Amino acid sequence: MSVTEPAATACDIAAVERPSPSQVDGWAFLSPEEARTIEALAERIMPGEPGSPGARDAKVVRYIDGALNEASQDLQTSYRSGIDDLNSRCLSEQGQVFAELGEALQDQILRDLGGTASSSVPGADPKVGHSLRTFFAIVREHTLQGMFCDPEYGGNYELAGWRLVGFPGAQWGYGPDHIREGFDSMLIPFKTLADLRREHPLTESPQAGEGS
Amino acid sequence: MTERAEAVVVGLGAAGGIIAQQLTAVGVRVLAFDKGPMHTPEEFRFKHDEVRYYSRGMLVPQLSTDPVTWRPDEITRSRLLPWATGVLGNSEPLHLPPSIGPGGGTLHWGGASWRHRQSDFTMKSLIVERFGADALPADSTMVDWPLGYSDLEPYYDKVEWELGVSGVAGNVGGTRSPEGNPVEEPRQRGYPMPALRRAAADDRFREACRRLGYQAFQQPAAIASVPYKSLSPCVSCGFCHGYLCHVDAKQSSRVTSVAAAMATGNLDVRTSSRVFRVNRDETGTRVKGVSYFDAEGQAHDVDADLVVLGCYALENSRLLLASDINANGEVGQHFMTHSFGWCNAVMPEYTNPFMASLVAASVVDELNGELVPDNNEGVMWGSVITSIPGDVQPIEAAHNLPPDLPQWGKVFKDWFAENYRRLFGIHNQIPSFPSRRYYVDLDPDVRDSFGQPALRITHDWAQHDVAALRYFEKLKRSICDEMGALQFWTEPLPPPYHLSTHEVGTHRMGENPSTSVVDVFGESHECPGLYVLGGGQFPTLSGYNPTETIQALAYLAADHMVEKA
Repeated sequence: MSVTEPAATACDIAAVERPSPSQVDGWAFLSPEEARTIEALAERIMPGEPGSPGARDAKVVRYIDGALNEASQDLQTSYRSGIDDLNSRCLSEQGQVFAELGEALQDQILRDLGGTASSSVPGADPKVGHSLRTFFAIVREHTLQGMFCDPEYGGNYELAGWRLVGFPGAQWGYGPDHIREGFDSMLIPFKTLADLRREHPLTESPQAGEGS
Repeated sequence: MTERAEAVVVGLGAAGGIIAQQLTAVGVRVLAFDKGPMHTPEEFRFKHDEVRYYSRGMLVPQLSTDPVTWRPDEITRSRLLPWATGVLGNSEPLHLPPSIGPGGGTLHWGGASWRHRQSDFTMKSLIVERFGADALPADSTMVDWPLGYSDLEPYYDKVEWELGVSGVAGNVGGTRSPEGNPVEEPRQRGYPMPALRRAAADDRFREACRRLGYQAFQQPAAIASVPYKSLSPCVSCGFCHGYLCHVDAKQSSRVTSVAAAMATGNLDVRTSSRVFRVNRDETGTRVKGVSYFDAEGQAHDVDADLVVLGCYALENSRLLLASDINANGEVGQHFMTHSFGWCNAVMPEYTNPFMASLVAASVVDELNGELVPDNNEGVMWGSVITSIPGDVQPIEAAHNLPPDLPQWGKVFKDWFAENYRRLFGIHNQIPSFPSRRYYVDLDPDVRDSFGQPALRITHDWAQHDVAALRYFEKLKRSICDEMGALQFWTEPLPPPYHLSTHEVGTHRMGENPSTSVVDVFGESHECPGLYVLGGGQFPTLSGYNPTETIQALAYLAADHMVEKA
């Protein structure tokens, strides 16, 4: 960079806060029970199976927990009450909380919410409050983020999300050998931000060469 | 004792950066303010973070600190931009005001760099001539520009060669090149840099266009393909539009004009500082300076005889309104923006849409503007048709899936796993027409955390927007079919957003001080010494991206300022 200026002000230091190592084993915001519920819910949104990782494999719930502790603090109440509402509904309809239900029943509960669509969707239960439907939409959006984020956010564990779709991640660049129709991106070593920081530290010049 | 500056520049984006550079180069000491932070070398280098920059929109002003409201008409109550307040808060940073911090919108822009053609300066006359005086609605406020292509040609040349644009010229001094734009206006010389490498499937797009009888050519790009001045060549990382550039390939004012201005020692940049008022002298006839909140929220005044606003059409207009500099009522009027008609397709082969930049794309320009063929659909002005071969990351892709696809579960996941690598897109840029109905003003109720009134946008898509979107959707579908697409879908028509980062018109130029805000040099009719630069100067919107014209007009304004000094 040809321009250097100290990032001195409070507004300038708008850096993302990553979960500290001490938070890796514990939860930053969710209780263990809440985490179980969110993990189960995310898994219905992106269900895993052998050879095709899902939200549980990608540790999406770790991403969500971290997000609720930093960028999405304003959604903490939505999550608490959304989890409560969901479990109340499951208890009254099926006698068990969401995380205890089998997958088919979990899917049925979510279909009855009308997914993320409005109450005019056929099959949606009109008695379902707007807030539970909104909660599901929030978790769905967070699940997408947790599947495909850089792993330093806690999700996309072992690049499960990126491997699922063939996205090679944080590449410095691509060369003519890669930029071809039909080229299988799974042949490229996938890269993360941590890889970039290690392989292209700021001490070197900007032009570090093409390709990964 | 009030601080005094020789010149104040507010906003260091496309226009402000050029003014800062041109003034400092002749020894003027410039004090520049920017609402955002000075982004760090670390932020530039390690920018490959879709959650940070797409999901969380960390470059653009957040609605929580910089509220903007919208209503479709005067009957409906305004609310915070509904298309940008997703379930998680901010979403779709493209459809919010552009990025802040020195560089402004050019920090994250795609970099499509276009000259207008002569017809874009005489849109009103051409439409009336072809379709009759009654063709435009009664409340149309469309006018011709007070200048034309030949006035701006030297400035377009200056933008391309001073700052850097890559591409293939189509018409150098009347000599046509088959590789370039077949409808290009004559230019004195070509581009200083050759064309960028395009992502994988773009040749398939070009071939399909050719078979359909259209000549697709390389989109001119404000992205370096070779080393050029302060720019280094693009490495096709695929995190381009919406992201900082980690190799200084993207022609951002931050690494071109702002860097050059800083090197003179004549530029003082105050970041995280928001100007909230433009002040006038006691007679009320000249600019006196500005008032701003510093990074700690303390208010200060600065006096200056020359004040240049370059903080985007919308914020420029908001500032003028908040400063009560609107005697003729023209500020905020004639709001125009683009609808894109985003469409997507699944191709039979991997397209690898995450490689290469968005603007390393191909364009069909033969149906743009007045070149749109006679039709029975009411389309009076056309658009570019531009491929989207690259720069698509997974979370953004997941926001643009077929509308009939389940939104969760195994079918959803399997579809995405199978097809993410086969995505391809095409878009237009349909310019809306200026009208008395569509304008911006100050929201009567909503204020930001500094107590400043929020901007309120009154806009809805009009009959011509819908007609043009429908007309071009058929064309895009036929191109995708010709490409062998397995699936094809489009965004809703008309779209739910009303911001495109191409807003123009709201402080328009004109020779008549009663029907315009600034003159051809961008100087306020009402308040001499105050320049208001950016897309807001445009009397009409073309089918092209506005930035190169904004930059050309800024060089024109700078010449005028320097001459007057």
